[in-house]
Amino acid sequence: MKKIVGVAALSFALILGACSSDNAGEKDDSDFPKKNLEFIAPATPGGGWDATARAIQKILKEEDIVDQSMTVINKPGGNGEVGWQYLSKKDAHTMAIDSSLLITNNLLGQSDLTYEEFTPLATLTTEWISVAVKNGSPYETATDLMEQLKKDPASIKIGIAPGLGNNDHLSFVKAAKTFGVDVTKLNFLVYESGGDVMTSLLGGHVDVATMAVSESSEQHLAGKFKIVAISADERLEELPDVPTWKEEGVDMVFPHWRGILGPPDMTEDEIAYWNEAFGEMVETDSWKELLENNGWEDFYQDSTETTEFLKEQKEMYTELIDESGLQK
Amino acid sequence: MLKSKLQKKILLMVTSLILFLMTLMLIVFVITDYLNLLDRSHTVGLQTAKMLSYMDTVKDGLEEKGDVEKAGDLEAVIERYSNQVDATFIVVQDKAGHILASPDDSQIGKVIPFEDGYKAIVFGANYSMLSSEIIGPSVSSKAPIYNEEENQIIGVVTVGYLISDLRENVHNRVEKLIYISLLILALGIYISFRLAKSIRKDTFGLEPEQIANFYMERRAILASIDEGIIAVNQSGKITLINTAARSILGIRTNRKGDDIETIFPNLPSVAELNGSVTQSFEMVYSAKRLVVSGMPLQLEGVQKGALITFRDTTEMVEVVNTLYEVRKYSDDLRAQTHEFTNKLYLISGLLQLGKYEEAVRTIQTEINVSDNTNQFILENIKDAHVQAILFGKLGKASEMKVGFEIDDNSSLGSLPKWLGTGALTVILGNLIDNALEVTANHSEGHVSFFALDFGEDVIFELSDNGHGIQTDQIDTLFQKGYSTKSKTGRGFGLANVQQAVRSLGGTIQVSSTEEGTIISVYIPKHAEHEEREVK
Repeated sequence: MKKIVGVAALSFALILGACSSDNAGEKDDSDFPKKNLEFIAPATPGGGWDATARAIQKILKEEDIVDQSMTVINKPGGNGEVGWQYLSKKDAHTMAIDSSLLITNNLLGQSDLTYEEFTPLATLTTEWISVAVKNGSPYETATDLMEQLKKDPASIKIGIAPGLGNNDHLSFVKAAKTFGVDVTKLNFLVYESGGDVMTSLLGGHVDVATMAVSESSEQHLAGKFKIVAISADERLEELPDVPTWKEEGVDMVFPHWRGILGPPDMTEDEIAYWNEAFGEMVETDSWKELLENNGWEDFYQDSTETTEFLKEQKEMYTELIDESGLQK
Repeated sequence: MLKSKLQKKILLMVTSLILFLMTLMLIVFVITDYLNLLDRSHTVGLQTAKMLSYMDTVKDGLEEKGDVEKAGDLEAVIERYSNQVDATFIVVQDKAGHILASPDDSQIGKVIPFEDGYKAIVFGANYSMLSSEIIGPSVSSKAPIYNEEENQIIGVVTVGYLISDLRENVHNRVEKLIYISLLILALGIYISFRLAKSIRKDTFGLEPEQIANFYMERRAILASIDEGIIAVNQSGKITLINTAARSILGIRTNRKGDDIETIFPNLPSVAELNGSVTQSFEMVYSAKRLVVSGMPLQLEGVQKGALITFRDTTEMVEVVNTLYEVRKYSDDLRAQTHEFTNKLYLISGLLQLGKYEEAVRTIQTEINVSDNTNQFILENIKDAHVQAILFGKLGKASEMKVGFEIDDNSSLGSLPKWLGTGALTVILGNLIDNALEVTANHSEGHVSFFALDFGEDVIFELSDNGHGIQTDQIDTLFQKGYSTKSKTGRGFGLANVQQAVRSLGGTIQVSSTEEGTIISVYIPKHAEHEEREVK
């Protein structure tokens, strides 16, 4: 009896072995991708995510890095939630742009999705976050601004888009907290898009706005408003007169990164394919040109590094969000 | 109050088992129920908080704080939802932490800083947590309230379930369960009583220790008894066999579960052993003479099997037979004495009548006859035992008026010692008696005895002129119980003869015609019998 069981087990193992080796053969890098690829931009056309997705699609195609045709589709809504929900049900031929919202949505109870449910494929770019004051503002520097907020947190209207809890918001809260501002009383006005925030600031509806450097630098250089601090680790070449938060006494470097997320349960071969593809892409001249034009910085990390990075980010955000301003 | 140990034991076991299981179940129930309730409070609370945060009434109530009407609307809405979702409290705070709506009126207008509500007021998060910030420890779900026009956070709504309320809910349900459990316990106790009663009925009211004692006793008794005992069940399978039975039957293995047929093929079937009557019969099992009794085992009139007891009577039968022979000799001698007395009366009569010559002739005839026969026996049959047997039988024959003569050609020396008296007595005594008896009714009954030991064998031959034996009866002649004589207790004679002859390694030949029967017995002189195995 034992013998029969043994033989059965052995033959079963052999069959399994045969199957798995077949699978391995099929999933060889030459076979992936097998069909058209879908690239999800979880936002409306025209936004930052949409632009990034289309630029990447263009480079991958023009540089012949990916043979299969690739379509960018827009899935706007819920701070990216809609797009990522869509991705979570697709196979390896789909991917999506992601950012720190993937983490914060969950931490703020707006989404059940976590990065652990997906396959992080790469981190590509980062840009820095700026705080700008309207022209004619009594606050010349970030420190002035913070001192006023400390005196009366509700006295200043702060413009922000597209929702509370994003990097722009978090970085401002973190800075304010460092100055001892009662952040519960801060008066944020939430706008639909970065363009609206800009308009409000230019029109004087808000006193302060926080947005990406790529969005604000042009107006700053044009003298339409004034950037008083950036979240980078050192001053930027194109904005030599703008101090970092560090210089203002806040030990904070806050990157606003973007990356690429794959669906759950991707095989090692599939991951390896994208590591190679993106690794190649970030070396191209057209990629570097894209970074230059948008004021982005190269922040490339492959799948393994990205996974590790996301873990750190999650810890960082958890600490930031859960640490009540009053609990010091 | 509990009569028996068994009852106590069963009651204790059942009760503790039920108690254990119920306690376990209750604990599991309490834990899962409480966790479920917590979970539900989180989910429902969060949903309610989110929904309320989108409601215009709530938003208006926050934005227009001075408006009494709006504040009343807000109160009404809050109270309605509070009832609908069974929440302990729903509290609305403005951005500064002022409480605008609360089930506790005294709280309205107070300021509670956002500590647990921090994530909601600062980051606009929707979440649920354990908090004791507002009214005691509770599951608090919070959602930010935005105003319509500028999308600013203007307040926070908190939906709370007091932990103590949740516990009370669980407590109430557990209370009901405990009543049900007690009912089950009572039922369990009742059933265990019934069970104990039923078991006691099955065991004739005996306690387990008593049963164990009985069992030990039974084993001791069975082992100490010389009688073989075999118990069988309804289908005739052996359920018990004692040591004596095994040694009598020469069985080494246990044989339990075997069919009784394999041991006693001729036994009446168990079904036939009906009624409470004990049936006894004799039978032979591999050369052993057994007296077997069968007794049915019945329980309340239902046949449950049978008990078979048996004794090895081989030795006893031999003793009985010998005793029988000895008695016959004394009878024979009495007959001879009687015969002689008659003759003495005759002689005495003749003498008194003065017929001296007649008397002398009678005496001489008598002397001659006895002298001739006696002389012949003394001269030709040298073996003292055979002589004694023949003398005895001569007297008997004379009394029975049967001619009994010793063949002139007979010649017999002293027989070897191993041809014991017992065996000879059985063989010759029975054969001669049989011959005498079958010829006794004949007018000229005549029996002749012949013995010879010239060759390898000792030969005895008895011929009579009786009515002979039917051919089909010859085969059964030597079986036990065969008898032409209708009296009970007989029918062992010839069977005994055959047994004795066989044990000496000899053979028997029977030839029978209408004129009479000749029975010849051949017994080898040499002691080969020792090697021969009796079939």
